[in-house]
Amino acid sequence: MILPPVVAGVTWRLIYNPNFGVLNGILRLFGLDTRRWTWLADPSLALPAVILVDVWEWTPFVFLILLAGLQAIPQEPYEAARIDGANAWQTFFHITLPLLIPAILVALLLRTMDLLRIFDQIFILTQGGPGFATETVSLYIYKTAFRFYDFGYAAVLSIVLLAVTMVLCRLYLRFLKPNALE
Amino acid sequence: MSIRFENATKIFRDLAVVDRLNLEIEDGEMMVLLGPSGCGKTTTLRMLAGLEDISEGTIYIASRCVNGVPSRHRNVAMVFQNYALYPHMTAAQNIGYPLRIRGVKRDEMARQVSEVAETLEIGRLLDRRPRELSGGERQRVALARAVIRRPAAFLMDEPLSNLDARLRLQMRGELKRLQRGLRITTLYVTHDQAEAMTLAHRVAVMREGKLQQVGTPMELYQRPANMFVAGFVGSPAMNFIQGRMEGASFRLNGGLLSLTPDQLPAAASAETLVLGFRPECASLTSPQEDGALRGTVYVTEEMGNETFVFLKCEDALITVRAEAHFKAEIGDVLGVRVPPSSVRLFEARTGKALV
Amino acid sequence: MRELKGQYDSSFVTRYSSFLKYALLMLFAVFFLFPMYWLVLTSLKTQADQFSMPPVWWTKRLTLDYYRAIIFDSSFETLAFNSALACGGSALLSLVAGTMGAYSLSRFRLPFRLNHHLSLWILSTRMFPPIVSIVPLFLIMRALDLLDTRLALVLAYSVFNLPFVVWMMKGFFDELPRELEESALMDGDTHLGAFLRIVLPLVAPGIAATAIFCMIVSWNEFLFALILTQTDSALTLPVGIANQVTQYEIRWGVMSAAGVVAMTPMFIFALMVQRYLVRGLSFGAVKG
Repeated sequence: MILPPVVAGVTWRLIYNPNFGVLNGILRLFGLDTRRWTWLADPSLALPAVILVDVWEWTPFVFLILLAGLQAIPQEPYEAARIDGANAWQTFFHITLPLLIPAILVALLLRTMDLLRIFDQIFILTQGGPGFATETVSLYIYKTAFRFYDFGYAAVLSIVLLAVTMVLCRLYLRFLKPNALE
Repeated sequence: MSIRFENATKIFRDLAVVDRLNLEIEDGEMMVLLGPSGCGKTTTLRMLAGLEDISEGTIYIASRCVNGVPSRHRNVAMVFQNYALYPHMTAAQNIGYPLRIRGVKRDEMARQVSEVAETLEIGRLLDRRPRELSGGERQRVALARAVIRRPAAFLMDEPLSNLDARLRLQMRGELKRLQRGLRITTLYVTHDQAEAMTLAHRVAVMREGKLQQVGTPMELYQRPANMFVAGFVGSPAMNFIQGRMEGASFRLNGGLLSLTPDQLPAAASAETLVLGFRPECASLTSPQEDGALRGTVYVTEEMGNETFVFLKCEDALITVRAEAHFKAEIGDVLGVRVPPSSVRLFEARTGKALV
Repeated sequence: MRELKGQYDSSFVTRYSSFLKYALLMLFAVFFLFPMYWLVLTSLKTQADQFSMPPVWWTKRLTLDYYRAIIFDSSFETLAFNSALACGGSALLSLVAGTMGAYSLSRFRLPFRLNHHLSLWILSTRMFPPIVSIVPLFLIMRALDLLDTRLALVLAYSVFNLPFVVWMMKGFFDELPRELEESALMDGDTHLGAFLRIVLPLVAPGIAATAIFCMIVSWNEFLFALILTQTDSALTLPVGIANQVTQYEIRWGVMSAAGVVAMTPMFIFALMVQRYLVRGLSFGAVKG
């Protein structure tokens, strides 16, 4: 998560490379014919491949947020639940999960906002291709402005994206308000 | 140095937290501001400290008006509830900080710090940081920091409330000795009536921003100006029973309590009365005794040196102090003898003391 | 006997489930760590090993050639210097302005509920997609004739660093009891003196952590650098690497080595701010 996104992109291009990439290398160990699997160049595989990179890069961050949330839960409810005779599953669903909801919401909020603007990794991995298979709003705006030099249209797109972000953010904050985030 | 509040008022969003306070603290006097939380006592202190603007009125320190004067030019020292020691400085640096600000030379500062530390018996703690000190030790460092510059006045905001009960009693005594020894004018804020009674030359009781009564601890205890002061000062609290006059006596649940001659005229002037007496003034007796109140035992609390008996008298719950070995079961019916001379009368509507 | 058997069973179940638990954890660990291992290994492999299929999982035939190549490549050094300057300059600028802003936001009551509104506004910058500002940013920099300069980067990075500093430092100031400053005022200090002598030393760890976060984010930044720079006079490391990668023929060894060099300082930074990692990355939302 503190990895430069560009470096993450380089790393995964290395892994996804159809000819000498390590992913196909692993699949070969299982006897699969990998010659058809050109991960980033295949319109149906490119999007999942890009998603996997994001999952790889940001799961540790979500993990840390949830961990912080878990550590903030006091011990007493657990002791009370044990005395009340709850088993491990009941404890998890009745105590851990409800008390963790603020942390989960924070993680969801931050990740949603990050994904609305995702740009760097995709730019490195596929540049939005093949075709439009992995083109995100940010890439589209970038291309409109700096490939086709249509600043006006790019500005309109920006405003729409901003509006969508604001609405989503509002919704999340409404959920969060009674909980975390002063 | 004397301190005077003249119609001092603090308004927060249309609410007068401190309402036209008039109070004079004499030179060398220890004045305790007593009241429940939210009564405006801390705001009063902070206005005097210069940490809070004054909305209306005037505050004088040594007959100089200090409205608008920044804290650093008021020459007062303050001890905070949480001590507010600087965590990144050692005890010695904490104590010396007021001198450092004033540009006192290093060796002179060291000399004064160790001198003050000696009086407060923290000489061996000077190199430690606040987090390595116990609550009581922090308290002493905070006191030392206030004492070192010989201010015109000490301001103390519940300085003992973060200590455990035993230490609080000990520090209470030391604080009193320190103040009496230095004879520095002190304004001390607390919600603990025992602290107020034991420390103060005079106590000022506040409620909802208004001053209720100013007087020595004994005056407050013996002649409370109203039901609020009567209920707040003294522990356990004064008993109140509502009733009406019948001739020269006060009528309550079957019993008739005769009043002393000097209480009569005042009692006659009020429509409804509240009779107050302290648990330690009443005594328990047989329910048949003439002129005694009758009550059912609600619960008893044995304290070791004394026993408090709580009784239901109609709808009032009253407390009576009995001797240590007094025994009673819940539900027993007892009589309560109240000597007329120890009775205080209040007007029910306003709560004001009569006589 | 029955009791003993029961005990045996339950310990068997625990052992079995704890084995599963560790196996699962191992799998995750491999998934998250392997790509990093692969990048480092590729940067040290000979070219023949890089392109072999099946891949060379581990080899003793290591080489430092690629690192040598980038160290002696003057354009790589320029890029690294540009990156460092842009991120250091922006961190410094944002810290000086942001710390003071955060202090007033934390301590002074501004009229018209400005504290509340400003705080929300600052928070919203975390949610703000940077892409929406590239058109105006580009046009402004062009009008100021700052395109392709390091100053443009410093300014652009401060756009997101400044609110970040304000928000983070506000959190640190809020945690500091107000009584400390009041006590300093009572002890005879001025507001400024209390701030410099009492407050600043106490939030110093927070300032350091915030500074490091600013530098991490600026160092990693890609989009603004991509649109604001074109030549060696201001190109940053990520853009330089990206330019190489998106070409048809990629020098994988050099790229991997450059990637390792670009991420190493970030790992060191991350270790330094470990305690505040979640707090910084979540914009203070999680105090951790």
